[in-house]
Amino acid sequence: MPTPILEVRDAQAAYKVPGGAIRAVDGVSFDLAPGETLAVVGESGCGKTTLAKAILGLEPLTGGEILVQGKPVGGDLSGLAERVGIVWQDPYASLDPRWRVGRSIAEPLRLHRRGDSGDRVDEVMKAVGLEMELKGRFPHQLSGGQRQRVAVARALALNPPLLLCDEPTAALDLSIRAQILNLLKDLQDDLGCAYLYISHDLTTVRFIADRVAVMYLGRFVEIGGIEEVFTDPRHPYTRALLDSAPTLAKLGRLPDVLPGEIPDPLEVISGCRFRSRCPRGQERCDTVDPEATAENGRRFHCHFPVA
Amino acid sequence: MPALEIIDLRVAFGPVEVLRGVSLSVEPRETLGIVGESGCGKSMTGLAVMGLLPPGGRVSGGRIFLGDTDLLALPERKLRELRGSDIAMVFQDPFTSLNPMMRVGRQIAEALSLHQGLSRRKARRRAVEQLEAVKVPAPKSMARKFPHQLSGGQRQRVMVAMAFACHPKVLIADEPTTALDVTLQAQILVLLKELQEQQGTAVLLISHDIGVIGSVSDRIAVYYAGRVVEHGSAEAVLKTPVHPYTQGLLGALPGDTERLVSIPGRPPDFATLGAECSFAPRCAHRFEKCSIEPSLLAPAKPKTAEQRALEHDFRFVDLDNTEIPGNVIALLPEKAARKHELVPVKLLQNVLVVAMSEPADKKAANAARTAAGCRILPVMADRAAILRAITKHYGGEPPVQAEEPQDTEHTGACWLVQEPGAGARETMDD
Repeated sequence: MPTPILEVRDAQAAYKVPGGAIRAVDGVSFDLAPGETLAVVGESGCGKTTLAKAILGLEPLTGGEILVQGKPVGGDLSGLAERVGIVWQDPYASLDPRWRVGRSIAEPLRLHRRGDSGDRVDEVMKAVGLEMELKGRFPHQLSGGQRQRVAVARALALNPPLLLCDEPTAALDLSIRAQILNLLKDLQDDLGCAYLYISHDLTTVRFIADRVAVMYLGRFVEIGGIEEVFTDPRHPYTRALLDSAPTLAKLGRLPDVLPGEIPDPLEVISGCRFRSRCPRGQERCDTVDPEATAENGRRFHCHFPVA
Repeated sequence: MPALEIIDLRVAFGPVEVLRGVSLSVEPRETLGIVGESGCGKSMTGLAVMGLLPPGGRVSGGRIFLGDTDLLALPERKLRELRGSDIAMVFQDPFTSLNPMMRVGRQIAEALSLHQGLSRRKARRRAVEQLEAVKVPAPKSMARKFPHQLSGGQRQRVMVAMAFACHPKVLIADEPTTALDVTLQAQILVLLKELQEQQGTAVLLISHDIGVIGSVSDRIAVYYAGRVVEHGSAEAVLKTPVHPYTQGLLGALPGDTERLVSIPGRPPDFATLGAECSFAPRCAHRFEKCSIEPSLLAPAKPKTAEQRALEHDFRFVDLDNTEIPGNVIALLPEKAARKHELVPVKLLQNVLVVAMSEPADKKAANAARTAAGCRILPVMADRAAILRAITKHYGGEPPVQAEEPQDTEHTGACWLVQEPGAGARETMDD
């Protein structure tokens, strides 16, 4: 077994707010192997973006630890950018509107004093399928797909072994989304970098990931191989997510409905965190927080898993 | 009568047309899904119907009928009366479309007292009932809350409650679930469907998400560059799309494939659109005809053997009760047959079905062929075999004996609809 690129051990991150603290990441553990793609799916407010920020060292942990290539994240962040790249959801917001494309892509190289950045800029632009003449353009002169390609090129400039993608296609139209998804897959084949792919879109996730983690209120309620989880989910929340998603296979059928919404994150929940919406909940779920059950490389937190 | 009928609607900003002749209709209780990418004009359609085009935009052509009322001919005052009562709209973002300064109960009640002339007290009571109908928890206390005190799902439910408050004939839902998570999206879609069925509303559902459109629509219109490029029943459009753009969109959906089909390039700039098909620059199938933009076309019914034969001066004849002497049969113009003294089998109008024996009369047959410019078919034992032979000879699909029911409503703005395989002909031919 190769050394994992990323090790997350019981990570916890909380935001102090009036009236208490929001435990956005509440005991998350996983490994990511080189060249592997793990998708993290969950609804808004489940803590997936906080997790990404913690891995980037942008959000301090209140407990547990995160190791990138064996080195803990935190304190001195110099050098972390060489190990972790990031692509955000909205390339409009993540690119400086006053900088030309070439400068944006060269910036990480300049900061890390990699000499002769010009060659590398050309190289990554070619790798992401951007024409060289776009180097002198500003972000507003590009299409949405091109802007997201620039963001990917910048993330790859330092050739990091790990790339975080936070909803990289959510702001894109369907035909453009397909271009970016294909690109990410090709880049991984060529460069062998690992992806942590954060998304709320299950169909996209199934296309791109090897493993998937389903996050609910700060915790991975289920994690496992992509096909196993999609075809045979064990956690009732995973089941509900899959049933809610309208797909062409369900043409003309309304999606199944999971009642309720994510509870107020300020509320301290006794027992299982999913119990307020769970169709399978029993008395035990109200008091006992389910421990992780491991089963054929799969892990889930549920007293009464879906058969 | 359709609840809403749009005929050749055009919307322009200055000299640039962004809606270029759209015709649609929705029946009561029916859901028409409009799907397309950003900037294709799908939202403009909804806003034009509501009379709420953004500044600078104007309807530059076409007509919109709500029942038999011509909306574009109405003065603003009359239109305002219809808005919110007979036509209602649900927007993508409830945060921006609800008044942040007003309690939600009052916002619903406002519409009721305005359009239905209810007293304040009655309107408030109805507002609470309305909130109950959209299944928000504790509707009474919910009515007293401000929008920011509600969760995203609750806000969208309030929007739905407002939209259905006056029992609209037509509801325009523009990306009603796009800002929502997948479990909330499912809740809202189911709620919309329930209220639609209760009230018999015609729904125009606008979304970029083909999955959403497919799960609730009866019919679908696919938009591209300000036009409808494909239209038909949801099943026909999604299962057997005819326009290359629709095919591309469906291929771009992650499924079981290793690679996604991506449509190269990007949508055209409205200002530079010419006479050619607006999708042609991105289309893998383009051929000569694409230099003219096609309107919505229905697939040409496959030609029957009889039609094909007629074009070549042959007739198909019913041979069921005919004993065919010899072993070659030809369908010849009468004159040619007589001239070559072939054995007549049957005379139909001016076409003679003749038979001759092979190979002795091969020369005669050849002579007949040359003389009449017609073909001679070998004798077949049965009618189906002759049919196959004739069709094979003239190319195309074998005609089906019992005419297949055709979805005449399924149309596509693409020349390929009437000339299947035209763009790919080079690769298909040997």
